[in-house]
Amino acid sequence: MTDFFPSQIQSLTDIVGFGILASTISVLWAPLLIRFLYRFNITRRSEYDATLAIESRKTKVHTPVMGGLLVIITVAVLVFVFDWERRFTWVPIGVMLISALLGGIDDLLNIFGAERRSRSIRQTMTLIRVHRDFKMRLWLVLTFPWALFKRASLWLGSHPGKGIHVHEKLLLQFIAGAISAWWIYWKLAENWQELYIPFFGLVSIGILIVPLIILIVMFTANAVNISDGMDGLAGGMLIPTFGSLAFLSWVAGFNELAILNSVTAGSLIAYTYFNIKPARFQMGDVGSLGLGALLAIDALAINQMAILPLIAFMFYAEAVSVLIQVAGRTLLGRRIFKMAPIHHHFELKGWSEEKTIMRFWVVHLGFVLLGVWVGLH
Amino acid sequence: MTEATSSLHLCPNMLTPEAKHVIESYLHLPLGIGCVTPYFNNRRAKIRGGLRALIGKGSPKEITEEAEIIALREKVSVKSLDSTMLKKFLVDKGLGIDCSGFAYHILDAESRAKNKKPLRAYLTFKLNPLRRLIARLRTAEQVSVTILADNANSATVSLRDAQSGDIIILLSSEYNHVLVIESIEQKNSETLLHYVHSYAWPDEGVYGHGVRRGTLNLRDENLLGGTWIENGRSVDFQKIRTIQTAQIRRLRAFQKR
Repeated sequence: MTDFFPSQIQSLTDIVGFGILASTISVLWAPLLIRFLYRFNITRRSEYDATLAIESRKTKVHTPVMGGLLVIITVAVLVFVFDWERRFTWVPIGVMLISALLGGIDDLLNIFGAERRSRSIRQTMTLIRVHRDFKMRLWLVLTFPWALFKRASLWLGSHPGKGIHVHEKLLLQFIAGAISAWWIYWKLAENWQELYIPFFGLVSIGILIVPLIILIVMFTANAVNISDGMDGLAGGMLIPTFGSLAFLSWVAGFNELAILNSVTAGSLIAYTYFNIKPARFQMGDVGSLGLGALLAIDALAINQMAILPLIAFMFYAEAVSVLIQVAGRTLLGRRIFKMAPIHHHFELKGWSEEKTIMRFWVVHLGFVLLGVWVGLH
Repeated sequence: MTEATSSLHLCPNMLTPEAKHVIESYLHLPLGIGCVTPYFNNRRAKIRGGLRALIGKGSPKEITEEAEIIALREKVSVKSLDSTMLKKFLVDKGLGIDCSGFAYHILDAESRAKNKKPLRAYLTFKLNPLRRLIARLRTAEQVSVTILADNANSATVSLRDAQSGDIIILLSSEYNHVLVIESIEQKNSETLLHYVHSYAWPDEGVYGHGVRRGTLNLRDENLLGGTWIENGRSVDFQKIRTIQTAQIRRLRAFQKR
């Protein structure tokens, strides 16, 4: 076989080899990271997480968070050290790092920060009417649209009081999405300006692809963030997702992206080893937002946007369950699920945490396989 | 057959099993060991777009679910509480049902069973188009005693024509109330209206109120002149506030065409 396809076999060997390397490096420095996180008391607190009231979850208090740094740093360092085709790897890594930075700041503020409150619209309008300083009144009028955006963004997420506010997160994620869109639409070749639909072919939607890319990057990053709610859940599902992206990248001839995805999958294997119950550390927003953004941009870079709902199925299902819950609450006044995201629903129905996680893994794996099959057409 | 039973004339239209099930669920809320659903004070507490279980309009299932989630957050084991403590827990956490919410859920079940349509299909809300759309989606929250008593939604019936599923409306300048007739009995020259409602009598204190059954003994059409009996004692709405209107009304959903 090697006599017939030496270059393909060699590239596949490189891809798998780098995955193993990433896994090995991550396993070796994970204990250091865990010690570091304990040393600086970067651990989970209970006051902002209602799910910790569930009897089986109480043991998670004081578990180190920001364990996602294991993957983020390993992937970033390997990319910069080995310097694979920059054209295809530096922007995805850059977007990952921006999102990870946002997540990391949020994690730290949630642990060490102070309560941050914002004014309601009514308070702002009252101040516009009654504030004795004319310049302040003028400023409040000029920034009123921004105040509206801040309050409206609360519809898209709750805020426990500390940490980055929802509108700030949306803005930074928008920047990450915009960089992704700029890279894909203007920097890569013409083929990336059209959407590839399996079984159908290339579809041109013109400049509309730009807001679509931004939306997908933002949505996927938040979907992974939402899914990171149980030990091993997000990590275990990200492994086959990045594995499938590695395979599809190799098939499409993007060896450098395949290596990037393989390195990520390999590092995630090591991360998940330490994250399964009882977790030695948890991913934190630094990992979930960073890897969610990377997942989206990697799929976009190989023009496999259409199969993202399949290879990221459970992440999207979790995010959609939150949207459904909010819609049900607002429009119907009722809970659709016992609790959202949906993994909490099953937990409150009586499934053990382990059963929930493993069933989610299995269902997700099935959809990843389906996604790969569809992506090959 | 006893004399009482021989003079017993049960209204031919009994409440459907579905409606009775709703009543029983409120009387024995499926939470822990079970308890009576408390009365909700009808204060809106500025909850916009919130859960209806938190504003006194929830179904028994929704109230139970909210109670379980609150218990989880506050690390309370509902299984270890007796009925009295459970009811206290519900009252302290602002969970309960108000009179119109209680009536709505019973009559909705009755309508679905009898007419195969929800109650909202027979209700008219005199609101702007946006509020009407909201009323279609969140009907329970929009239904009040005034809506039920509106001529577009119900009509007065005489005592002679009263049947199960009819409502007793009490209107005053401060507070309106609705009771649902569960069954009717003729005893010699008296008519006994067996009703259910959610109410808080002042002498019941902070925790003694809630859903209950009662009987109204009537000799004539004057509802306020009858004898109201609940839990073996006589009660009087007129002592609480001056009732201007007391009527038996039948919703459009249950009127013969």
